[in-house]
Amino acid sequence: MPCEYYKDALIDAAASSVAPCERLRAHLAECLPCREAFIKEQSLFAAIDSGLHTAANTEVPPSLFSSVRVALEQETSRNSGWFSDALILATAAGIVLAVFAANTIRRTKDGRERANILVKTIVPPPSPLSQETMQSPDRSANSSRSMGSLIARSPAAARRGETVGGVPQVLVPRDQDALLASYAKQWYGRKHAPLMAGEVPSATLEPLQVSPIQIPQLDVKSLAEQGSQ
Amino acid sequence: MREAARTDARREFEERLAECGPLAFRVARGVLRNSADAEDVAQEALLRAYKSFHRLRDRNRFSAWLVRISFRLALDRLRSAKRRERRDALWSQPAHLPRPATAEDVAASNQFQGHLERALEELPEKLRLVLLLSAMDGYTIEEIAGIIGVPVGTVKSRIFIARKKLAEKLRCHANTIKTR
Repeated sequence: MPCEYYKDALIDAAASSVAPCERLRAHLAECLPCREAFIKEQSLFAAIDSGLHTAANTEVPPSLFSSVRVALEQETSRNSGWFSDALILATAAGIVLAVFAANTIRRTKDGRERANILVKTIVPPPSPLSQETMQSPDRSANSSRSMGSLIARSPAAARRGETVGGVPQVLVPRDQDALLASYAKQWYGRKHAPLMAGEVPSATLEPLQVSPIQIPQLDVKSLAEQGSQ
Repeated sequence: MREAARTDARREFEERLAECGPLAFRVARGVLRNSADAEDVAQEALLRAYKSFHRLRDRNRFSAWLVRISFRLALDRLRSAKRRERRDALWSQPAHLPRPATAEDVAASNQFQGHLERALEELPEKLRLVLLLSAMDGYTIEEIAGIIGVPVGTVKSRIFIARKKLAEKLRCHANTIKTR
């Protein structure tokens, strides 16, 4: 058994790689149990170091590098796969958008052209009367309001607010052409446009006679009077 | 352009792989005491390091970074293995059969080595990592200090404390030293 006093110093000296201090060395020289304990401690630490070296320097299996490379390859291809997928998706989306935009533009242009053709084909060559009608937009607007469904602007033209020489273009059905002309004639002659169904005579619209409401006086009685009755 | 950057990063990473791959494996092996598990952990650590390689500003800190990843992953695996072992022990009778030894385990079978590795496992994490790194070939105290990010004096004191703790645990097995 080592001396209790030197026990910790012995262990510390064995644990550190530096040589023991002067005092301990002197003690070890004259104390056999302490010397034996010190040698034992030194061999214990040497065994620990050797074991640690063995544990820490294990041979690296050659399969490690190949497996890591395979994993890296997979990771890279996954990344590039993701990237190419995204690229394909973006390209496809771009193409779809471009086709959609081109289609919309073409459709709008076609619609405009078709409306122009319609206006040219449906509206007959302007007669003096209809010209007058068209040259007075305010009046024609009033008349169109009173005419109701007789005069209809081309919806596309109305939407776009197209005009010919500052006058809004209107589409008039072929069969109502003469009617519009006669209406315009009447309108110019009378200042006030007549209703097509005929004017309602003002005499028939007599003011409504309402007799005043008769409210009888309230007969208020007290509760005592009511009780006696 | 993106592809070229990725290729460059990959090339740089592969250059470091030869140097740092063994380090990752040995750190994991020191924690797990099993080469197959250590290989898995090292592979995972290297893959994680590769994925985040572009985010590493100071490339000289790569080995320190990899050591930390590897050590952490190895500890996680060790803990989950222990949890699994405890769970299995609860359900299987007779309780706790020892893990079947691999050929490598048999080759390295040595009573003292077994005691040492178990004692190493019981050390606190920060002491264990320092001790493992100090036992590895090719790393000076200064390099270890750089890897762990602590002063040289701290590394020295940790090594000293760790060795003393191991000696305390292994003193009762000192008689087996002669049998090695």
